[in-house]
Amino acid sequence: MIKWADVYKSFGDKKVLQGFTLDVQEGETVVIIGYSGSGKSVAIKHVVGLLEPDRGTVIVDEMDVPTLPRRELYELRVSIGYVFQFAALFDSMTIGDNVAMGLRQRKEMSEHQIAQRVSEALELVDLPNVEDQYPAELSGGMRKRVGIARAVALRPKYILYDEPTTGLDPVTSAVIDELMIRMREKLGVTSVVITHDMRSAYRIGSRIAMLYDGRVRQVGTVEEIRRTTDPIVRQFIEGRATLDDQQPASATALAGGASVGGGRA
Amino acid sequence: MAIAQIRSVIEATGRWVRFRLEEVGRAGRFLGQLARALTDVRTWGPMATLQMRTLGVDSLPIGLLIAVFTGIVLALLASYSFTGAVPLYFVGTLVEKTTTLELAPVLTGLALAGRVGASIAAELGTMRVTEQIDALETLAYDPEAYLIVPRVVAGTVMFPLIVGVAMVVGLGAGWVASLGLLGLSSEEFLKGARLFYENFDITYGLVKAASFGFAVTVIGSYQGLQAEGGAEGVGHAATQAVVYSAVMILVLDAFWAMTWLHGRSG
Amino acid sequence: MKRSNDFIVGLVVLGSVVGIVAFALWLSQANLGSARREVVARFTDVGNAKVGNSVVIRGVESGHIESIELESTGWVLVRMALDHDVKLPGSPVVLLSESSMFGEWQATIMDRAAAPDDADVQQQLAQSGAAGHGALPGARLPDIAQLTAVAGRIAGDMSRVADRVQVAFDDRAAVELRQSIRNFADLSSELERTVRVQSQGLSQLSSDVHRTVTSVNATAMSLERTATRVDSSTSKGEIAQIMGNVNEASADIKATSHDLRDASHSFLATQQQLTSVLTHADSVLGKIDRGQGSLGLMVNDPSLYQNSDALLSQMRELVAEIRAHPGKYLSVKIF
Ligand SMILES: Nc1ncnc2c1ncn2[C@@H]1O[C@H](COP(=O)(O)OP(=O)(O)O)[C@@H](O)[C@H]1O
Ligand SMILES: [Mg+2]
Repeated sequence: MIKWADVYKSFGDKKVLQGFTLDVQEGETVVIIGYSGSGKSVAIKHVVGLLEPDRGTVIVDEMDVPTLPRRELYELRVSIGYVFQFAALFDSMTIGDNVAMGLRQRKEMSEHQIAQRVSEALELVDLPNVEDQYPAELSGGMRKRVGIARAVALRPKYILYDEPTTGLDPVTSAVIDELMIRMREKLGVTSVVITHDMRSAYRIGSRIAMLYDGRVRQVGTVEEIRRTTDPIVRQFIEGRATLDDQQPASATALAGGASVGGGRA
Repeated sequence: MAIAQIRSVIEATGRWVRFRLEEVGRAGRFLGQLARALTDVRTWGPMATLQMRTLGVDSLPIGLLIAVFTGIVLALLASYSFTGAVPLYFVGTLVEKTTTLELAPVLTGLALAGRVGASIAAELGTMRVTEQIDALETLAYDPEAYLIVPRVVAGTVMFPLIVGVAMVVGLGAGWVASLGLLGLSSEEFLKGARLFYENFDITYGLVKAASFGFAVTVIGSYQGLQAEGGAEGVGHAATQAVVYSAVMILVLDAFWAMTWLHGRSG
Repeated sequence: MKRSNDFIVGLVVLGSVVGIVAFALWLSQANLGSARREVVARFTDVGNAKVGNSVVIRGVESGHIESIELESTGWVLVRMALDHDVKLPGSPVVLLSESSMFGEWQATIMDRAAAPDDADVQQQLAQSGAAGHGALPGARLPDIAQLTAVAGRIAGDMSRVADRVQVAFDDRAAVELRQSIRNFADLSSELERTVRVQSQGLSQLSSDVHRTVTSVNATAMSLERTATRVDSSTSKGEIAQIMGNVNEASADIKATSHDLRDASHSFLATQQQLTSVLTHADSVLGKIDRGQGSLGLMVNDPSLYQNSDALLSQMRELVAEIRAHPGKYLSVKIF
């Protein structure tokens, strides 16, 4: 279980999280949606201890992440896969080494087993036979998928996906969605997925939470979110430029112009 | 109005002091983490060779180039300064003393501050702004042990070696220049070089070089880790690394001269 | 790739460590393999000798000073490491002395019989030898700084005499002159002794210097005789008798002053000029000594006072110059 309890986080004068509270139950996939720059990435970085909250705390498996001693934090990290928004591949290493990094650190498997696991993981993200290439030789979308493979290869208990399908073509996006679903159904992985792609959110999410103004604006099942009455959530999920009952100034002008034109005709 | 201005000046001063203190605190914590990470031999050990190669072995050519020219110039400079009053074989003495005690460590150190300091800061800075360092952490690697310690160890070990070789080459170049350009005999040059030679000369130069290696790599790493904000941030980190390393080398040079060299001369 | 990095790094590390160590050994001329033997000597005072200074046997550098320790009994023990195949003289003694104008010292091991025949040195050796076994007798030679100090004192004395003579040559002046000439004689022989001891112990001091000092010594002896003469003549009121041949003496002193002026303007041939100055002085004083001198004139002829005064002040300048720049006069051979 992952639990954010009243997390506050600022960078200098910039307040990012202001009382962010959310929990993710075992085996569930929670999708976090929200505007760019609203602090979604900041929120999930707290889960692996990359950032420390100014106030409040984050609890994973009964462990209080911010106060965890170093060694235990590293042990916890072994059970969490993290897919970075911009892949964050080690560009001095081959794809194979990138995916194998976490496995090597665990020191549980032989090099042969690791190689097998690596090619399996790359196969899952539809990228066979790229082990010997370097990140610079791949396209942005391919790199992103390697980032997913790197997290998945560890077979972690939790996976945090930071915009896994942003920038991918629709078919590859669908492949990744499938992968995320399979991870939950077959391996019982608990996931947090940040995405802007509402189609994908409805498909993979057990629940959806919207981050707005530093806290959770609304959290609920896919159905609840679809039928939300909150104007801000509605606007976001429907992808409109204005809130529900308002018309933007320019749109009004256009509509007015059209009606005048229509009157003439 | 005036009171408000005074107030803002005082506040600005206070803020400035606080920032500087925070900086000191961060640097201290960084060194503390470095010391802790040093115990994690299993992580940094395998990475150290690669760094010794890239920071050390690959820096040899520039070190040697500097040494050759320094040796030649020193020999000519000495013979120019000694006209008449002092016997010419003192060229050997001057070349030996200045190369081992000062020029091999400091000139090589400054050149490597540029080469090594900037490359470490740029590499780690890029890793920082592209979240590669965060990625390492999520894979349960300790960035201090995995990235920093190998570089610092490599710098501390390899700088003295490069400087030592530069001493040998510098004296050799001075010798050849004395034979070829000054018409000194080998015997005379060697007599001068050996006249006041002590093993301390080389030890001092090498210890100094090790301290430079440590400083350059630590400063490069620290600046790299502090980088933020994309390519510009990385460039800034690299520049800062070179500037601070160069200043630190001169400060350390003076420090060693005042504490150790001066202590010996009584 | 990892393997090849290990190889290259290993190669460079080993290569440079070996290279640097070899370089250090080569520069310090350490003798690997051949064992070194140790010799200890006892001194009352080691002057400026330091650890690392060379040990010389018959002019050949054969080792270096390894340690210098102050013993509780008041002696200084100097430990020297020698090349193992070095053969010591039959009854060896160790002399410490300067080896260059830069304050570098050296230890010379020589046979007791070859040690300088100087009372002070011999006494040091005897005391050190009597102090116990296990250490060679050692002595420290006077250094070059002492030599110039002696010259300075002579100059001071001479100037005092000159002042006196210029005011009035009376009985009191005669007594002072006698005293000063005595002092000058003493100091000259001290100067002579210092240089003799130095040049016996070392080969570095130039023979020119030695010759010069011999000449100083001759002058000193001549002065001694003159002093006796002045002594007796003043007491018997016979100054007039030792006068005579005035013009000749006056010309001699003039020539001497001229020489000295040249000497103080051009220092290139100073060695010879110093010698000639002293020779002139010697001849003037010799004439006085032989009763042909100009002491009477000193009483009566002010120009001669001036001449002799000029001579003395030139000499003072010369000595001051020697003191300030000993290197110029003690010749480049010292290096
Ligand atoms: N390390 C940091 N230092 C300073 N500001 C940061 C840092 N990380 C994130 N921010 C700021 O926090 C805000 C939220 O960022 P982020 O969580 O990346 O947004 P998103 O919801 O798009 O993932 C942004 O305005 C960003 O500038
Ligand atoms: Mg983000």
